[in-house]
Amino acid sequence: MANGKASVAVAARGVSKIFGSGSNEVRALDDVSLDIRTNEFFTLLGPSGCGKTTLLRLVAGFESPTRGSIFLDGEDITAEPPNRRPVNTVFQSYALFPHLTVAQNVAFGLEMLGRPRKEISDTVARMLALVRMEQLANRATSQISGGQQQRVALARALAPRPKVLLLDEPLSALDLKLRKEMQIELKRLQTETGITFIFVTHDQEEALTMSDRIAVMSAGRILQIGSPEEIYNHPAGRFVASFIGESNFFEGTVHNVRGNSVEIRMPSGDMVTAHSLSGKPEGSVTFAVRPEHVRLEQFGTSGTLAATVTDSVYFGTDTHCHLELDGGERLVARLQNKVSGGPGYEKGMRAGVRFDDGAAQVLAD
Amino acid sequence: MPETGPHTPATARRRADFSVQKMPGFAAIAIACFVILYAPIITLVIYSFNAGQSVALWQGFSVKWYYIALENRAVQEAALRSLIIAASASAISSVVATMAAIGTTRTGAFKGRTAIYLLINQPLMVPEIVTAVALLIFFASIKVATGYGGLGYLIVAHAAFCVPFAYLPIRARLEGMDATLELAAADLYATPWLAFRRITLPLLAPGIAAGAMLAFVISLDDVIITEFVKSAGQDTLPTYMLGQLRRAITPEVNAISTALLALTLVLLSVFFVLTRARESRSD
Repeated sequence: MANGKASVAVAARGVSKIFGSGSNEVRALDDVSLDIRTNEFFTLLGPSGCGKTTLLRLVAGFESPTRGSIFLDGEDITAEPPNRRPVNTVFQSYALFPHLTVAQNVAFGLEMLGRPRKEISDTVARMLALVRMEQLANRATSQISGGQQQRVALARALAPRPKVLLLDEPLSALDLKLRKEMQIELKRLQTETGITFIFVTHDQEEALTMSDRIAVMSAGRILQIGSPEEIYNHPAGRFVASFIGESNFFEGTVHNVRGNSVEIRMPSGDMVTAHSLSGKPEGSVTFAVRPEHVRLEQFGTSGTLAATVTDSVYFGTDTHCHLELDGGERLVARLQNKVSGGPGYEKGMRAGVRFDDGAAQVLAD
Repeated sequence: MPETGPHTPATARRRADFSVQKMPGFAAIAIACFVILYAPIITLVIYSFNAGQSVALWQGFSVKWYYIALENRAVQEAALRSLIIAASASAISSVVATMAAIGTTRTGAFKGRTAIYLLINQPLMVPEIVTAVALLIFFASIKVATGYGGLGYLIVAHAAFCVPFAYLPIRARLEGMDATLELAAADLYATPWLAFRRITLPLLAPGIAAGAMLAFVISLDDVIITEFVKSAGQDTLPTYMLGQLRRAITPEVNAISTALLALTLVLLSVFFVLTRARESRSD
């Protein structure tokens, strides 16, 4: 690990975590390896039970892996207890100490590190200012709102200047408006402090708006790691394509491959050009197209797929047009609404379907 | 009320019918229960102020039996002994119970946890007279072997049967406490000892106080085990009173009982005020 890769903050190598034993055995993490870069906002995204929180707890030291190792700045910390890891956590439940004031909560980590009193009070004041909680420093933690508790939990975890900040679904208890504010706030804090953030969430929108890179997890495995754009525009597999955003799925057979560009023949005989992430796909494949990358044109226009509108649902900013291709496949097109009204496709109408250039994505499974 | 809908009176009446307070005999049963619970105690307290020798025949008000009890050397010594034993047993059992509670709630599920619960709560289940006889025989052999005959035996015996009483409130408090708080302390560089002292202990304190107080009261009140384990001249207040009853009963016994009752009430109120203050502060 320590071969001069200074830009890697946290690394996992072949990490597995098995809970229980025998017939009750649960494989929470299955041979996971990844590198999280210094100063990046890294998100572990996946449905509940996918192992993302377990991975976070392994980095924090609350659990130890059944197999594999965890590295921090190139150093193996697998055997270190949580109090000896320069890593702090923002808990889902915040876990503020109820018998201490806001300022005492923020000071706790620094006190445990044995910092001088002057330094502690200065840092506490600076941290409370950072999260805009100066006025409430002497309040009991039970006397402040959920959003304020969230800020205190953040200040408490940031005060000792950890090498990595771990955030376990910290926004899930907040209402929508507060959650949006805190998303921006978190991104600001990460930029201002320059600390590596590892953020766990099941909310794809949170992941897309805040992250530098995202790891999509399912059933204890990492399915894809990439920037929000890569993950969204070029999902590697069916799970990623359907978990992040919505997708229309189609089957076809590979006709011709040129670099990343794959010509696919659909069962109806129509040809579609799709983008392939890696490898040389052959035989029958699945490809995905985002609903917003589907265009509707005059029925019969050359190069379009013949379809019938089965339903049209108005959503304010856009209209969702449900269609059935003449080959039998169903899909949804998301069409932007104009001041003048909707796109004008009604149930039962015929239309020609066209995918935007590069919108069709070949999936690995 | 003119704007009341047609259904409202009926609904209100039906709701009243389901109220426990409206059921026949509710008041009578409640009064009977309270009379049975408190009439004997009130009678005992009243006759502790009797001017005469009788515990059943009122002969005028006087506090002379309190003076007599207070000046009685045997009562003084028994009272002091009771307090020493209760305080020691309460201190020992709450420390042991705190450790047991942490051991049973802050570990993952392990084999034999139910067995451990049963073992800890043994004094609640084994008939006290059995424990008393067992301790009598066990301590007798230790006495023979070591020659020690002090209060230690009573303190150890009391501490042992007080453990489950101290354990229950402490465990309840620990189970109600968010275990994430201890993780958070460890995450913020607290060693296990510092996490306990700075986070767990302060939050657990009301539970420990409740457990210690319960243990104190239980120890103060014990007759059976004390009667079997004590050596000659080691009477506690309850065993002294029992001894007095075998001779002539005077209101002195009422006076001592009333004093014990008052002490218990004071302990309970102090504890209640303390826990209330803590709760309202953390609300």
